[in-house]
Amino acid sequence: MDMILLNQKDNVAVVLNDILKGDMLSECGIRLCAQEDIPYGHKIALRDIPKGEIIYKYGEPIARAVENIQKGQWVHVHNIESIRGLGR
Amino acid sequence: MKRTFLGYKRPDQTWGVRNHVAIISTADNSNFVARRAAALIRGTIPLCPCFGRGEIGKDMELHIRVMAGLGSNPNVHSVILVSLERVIAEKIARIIRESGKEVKIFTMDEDGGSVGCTEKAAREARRMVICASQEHREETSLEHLMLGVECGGSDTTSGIVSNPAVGLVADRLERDNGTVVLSETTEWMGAENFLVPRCKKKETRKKIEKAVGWYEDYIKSIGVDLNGFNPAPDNIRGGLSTIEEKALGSVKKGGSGPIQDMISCGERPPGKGLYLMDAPTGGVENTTALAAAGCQLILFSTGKGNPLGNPVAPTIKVTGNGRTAMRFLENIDVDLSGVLKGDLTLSEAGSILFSEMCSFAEGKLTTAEVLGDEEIAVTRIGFTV
Repeated sequence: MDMILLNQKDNVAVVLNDILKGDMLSECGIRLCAQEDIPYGHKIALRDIPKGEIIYKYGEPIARAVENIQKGQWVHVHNIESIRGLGR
Repeated sequence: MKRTFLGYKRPDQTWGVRNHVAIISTADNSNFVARRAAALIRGTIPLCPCFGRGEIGKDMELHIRVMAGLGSNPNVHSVILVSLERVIAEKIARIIRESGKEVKIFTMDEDGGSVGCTEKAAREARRMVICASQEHREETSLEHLMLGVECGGSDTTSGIVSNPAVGLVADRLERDNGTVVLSETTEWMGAENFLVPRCKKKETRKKIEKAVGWYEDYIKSIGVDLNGFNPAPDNIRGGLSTIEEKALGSVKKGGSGPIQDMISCGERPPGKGLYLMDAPTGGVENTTALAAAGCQLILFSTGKGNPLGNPVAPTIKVTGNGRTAMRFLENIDVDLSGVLKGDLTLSEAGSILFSEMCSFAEGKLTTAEVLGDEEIAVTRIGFTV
């Protein structure tokens, strides 16, 4: 298993290996090509996610995209941020 | 299916899974006495807080409640309080004595400074340990078990494997009429949909909103983003990007059972079943609050690795991360990494963990106990005066 999709509503999956750019991943009928290296346990975009869109994991909102994210890109603190707990 | 465990019966009808003689320092200014006396006498545990002197209002209440809660924990056979002066020791002793445990006080003020106080505490501890050694484990129902659930050094595997496995153990213990305490209030932020609908009382829903809101308001008031603090840098390296993501994984360790109510930090749950406790997320602070609430055991789920244990409540380290199971080899009690390798179902992982928990309840030592990787800290809200 290369990645795990935790809820059908999710637009990200969790990778279960250190993924290299160009690796092909599949899970629950979704096939995609990693656009960059992604560390073990981190998230990969299952589709294009425009800036401002909500990121779903476990079927719940976990963040908002702060830039356009392409399918197969690494999704982490560099391109998403919390909705709650911001000091502003 | 296991429904009983072997424990030590206490005068207040609670059951211990350990039989400690606790040497409790009432404040930071007597910690060295507690440590020295405990070093002299095998079978004792020193409980040494940060602060305690000059605290006011809710901080002082919290300090007394938590230190007395640790002394009242069912795993404690008897207690020696060492203190600079008598007044605070008497306040803590009065609460511990309600549990029927023997409590002795020694103060530097009345017992000859730090050396005289150490000597008297050690002499008394010697007697108490021999007395405690004559207690025997008896079989009792799992309903007498109170389990604290905690996660520390979380990563992406925590929310997928170890926390859900802990949640399955929590559900099973609740079905056996036991008690479970889920705390770490900040890590309910964004996961309210998994908690609020399970509250048995409307007031509890409001308590959750208020408790989480307190932290959100505090963060805004100081103008600091939670990110980088919670999730902490190790959580972020482990793949967790936001507090919501961490929280959604974190609350899974509370299982799926109905929530009876929310209690204050270090407060004893008034009944059976699952209770939320409003306590902070720092591992040392939170495990201290869980032990003060009376939890005899703590299931501690870790992703990136965290060796911490509580000296009163044996703290069972569980991971679902195979790399952590190797990197922190000596710090992990239960390795559930087979789930992500496809060797184990989550349900099997829950059963393994439940069975392990029962073994630890009956005396199997946790790795944190053997290594002595144990610490306590009482949460503080404001400043000393």
